[in-house]
Parts: sequence; C-alpha cells; structure tokens
Amino acid sequence: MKHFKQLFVIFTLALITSSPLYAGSQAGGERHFSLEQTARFAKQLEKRVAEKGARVFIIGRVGRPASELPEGFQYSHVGIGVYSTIKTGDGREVPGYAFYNLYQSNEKPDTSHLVTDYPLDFFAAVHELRAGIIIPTPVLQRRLLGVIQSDSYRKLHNPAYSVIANPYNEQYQNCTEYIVDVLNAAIYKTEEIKTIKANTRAYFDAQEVKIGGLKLLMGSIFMPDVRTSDHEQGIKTASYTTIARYLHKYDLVEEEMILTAQ
Amino acid sequence: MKKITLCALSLTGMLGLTQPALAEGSLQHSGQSINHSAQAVGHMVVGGVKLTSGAVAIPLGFSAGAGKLSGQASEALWEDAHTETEIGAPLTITDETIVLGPAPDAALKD
Repeated sequence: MKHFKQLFVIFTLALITSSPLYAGSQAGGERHFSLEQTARFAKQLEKRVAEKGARVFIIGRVGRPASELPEGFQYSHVGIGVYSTIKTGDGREVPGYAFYNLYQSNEKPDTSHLVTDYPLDFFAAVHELRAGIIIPTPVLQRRLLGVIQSDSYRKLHNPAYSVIANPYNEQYQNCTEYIVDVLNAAIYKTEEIKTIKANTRAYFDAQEVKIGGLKLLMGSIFMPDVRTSDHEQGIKTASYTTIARYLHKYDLVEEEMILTAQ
Repeated sequence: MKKITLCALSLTGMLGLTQPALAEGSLQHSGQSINHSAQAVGHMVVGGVKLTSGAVAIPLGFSAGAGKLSGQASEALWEDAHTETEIGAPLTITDETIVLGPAPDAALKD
C-alpha cells in the first residue's frame, strides 16, 4: 500500500512535470520572433501570393519545431487564405488576405472553432518563418470561394477535435481534415458529409502517423485531444503534404511554393 | 522503491515523448502573442509595428450567385476582382498590417 501511494505521488509528479504537454496551448502561445519580423514575413507572403493573382489558396504554418513533428509532417496547421476587402476598425476598406481556420480550443483541447484571422495573427507564434502555399486551379478557387461564402462552410465543421482525426469518417475533425472536407465539398459541389467522406475514402491518401502503440495509448489516456476510437487499423490523418499530393494527383494545383523570410 | 522510480521515470519519458509527436498545434496564435490592447479598434503601434484592427473581411472573387455575404464589398474592389478572366492577374494588397481584436477575456482585462 505504501509503495502504491509512493507510486501515485511520483506518477502525479510525472504528470505535472509533463505539463509542457499543453505549454503551446496556453492562450495564444509564445512568440518566437519579434512582431516586426513576423509582420514583415506576413506582408511578404501576402504580396507574393497577390502577385500570383491567387484569390484562394491553402496555407501551412510551422507551429511546432520541425524536429518535434511526426515523421512525414512538415506543417502543424493548415488554413485557407482568401483575397478580401477588409473593413478596418476605423471604417475604411483595404484589400488583403483573410485566413479561414479551424482552431483547436485553448480551454477545451478536445473541441475546435472556426476563426477568420489575418496573416500576422496566423503566424504570430510560429517556430519558423516558413509557409507552404498551394494555389489551386482557377476553377477550384472559384468553387472554394463558393463554399466559404455559403452556409456549407459552417455546416462542414465538426467541433469534436482530435489531433489525429481520421479523415475517412466524421467522428472527429482536425484542421487538415476540415480542409479536405471543404475541398471535397467544393470539388463535388455538395455539403452532404456522407458523399464527401465517400469520395475522400476513394481518392484521398491520408498520412500515416508513426507512433508506438504504448506512446499512443498514453497519449489517448492523458491528452483529451488525442483520440483513437475513430481509427480501425493504424493511425492516419490528413496533412498539408497529403493535401498537396491529392490536389497534384488530380491536376488541381496552379502552383505550389514554400515561402521563407527574406 | 528503485523499481517505482524507474517506472515513474518511464512514464514521465513516455508522456514527454507523446506530446511533441501528437500535439500538432492548430492553435490560434493571436491574442496574447500580439499582446493586443482593447484600444486597438483603430490603430496602435506594438513592437515597432503599426497595427490596424480588421473588423470584417469580405471575400472578393468571382462567385456571383454564391451564398449570402455578410456585407457588401466596396464597389470598386468588387468590380476589379469580379471576373474569372482576371484570375491570375496581380492583386493589390494594403501596406497596413491588419490584426484581429483581442480575445474577449483579454479585452475585459484592459
């Protein structure tokens, strides 16, 4: 009994010392570059994409050190940039890009919400001033904009969040699965999730997440945003890379680029 | 006791290793990262950067007949961007740095 108590205390300490589990989840995260550096990069990105005439594009950021990302993952978060007229707080209208995101909740990590923010907000706490950019073909851009401007955009959101959500079913959703859902809603002109998932299963190859069984078990026990009940054989989730691969495979990419700070 | 310590160390190690492998970080970066002030309804300067708050963004594009917009785009910008033939043509971008306002809890602290 005495040993059990000791183990309990040590294990509790172990949990506490592992609190960095959520260090990146606290109220917006830490900044790794000066605001000036980040703002310069964000504006550089906007201008680069605008030069290409992109109305809608897919964007990935590095929100965690690249060395800590699972094998095969280059970006930690993916959103959609949309050329917009932005009404400012003082009543003016200026042209720029707004970013459409599914963000994990800071307070309840097993839930998510949709947020439209701006480039500096998007990159505020990144670990690298690097972005992956996929500019879809004009036809797909037009269809994506149609989804974003319609009620379908919100209907496609499932707030039940898992960081390793299975994109082939609708049980949980993460930011990349949401992008796949929006893409397939645009491609197949439907908001019927069953149809979207059927086509995802048929044509989209998800990224295998290579994690040991024990580690995964521990994660699923102690991290509310790590859920495995939506997976049957192995763990696969959507990623920037697999989204890019999917769009390239079916000739739906106008241009893909990686942008780093200059 | 030695076994227990080893066990605890293993658990700590596993938990520590689990986090970077799994927590991908699709977290909202704004809010405290930019250290907004509730006064940021117009302009403010933070860290040497002049920030302008964005109240609403209305997509500009080529989607006549798409879903309802939450507002009307400026006529000139809309006309400029409205036709599909212009896809790929360079677009204008403001030099201003636009940001969201602070999160509601941060706003209440000011």
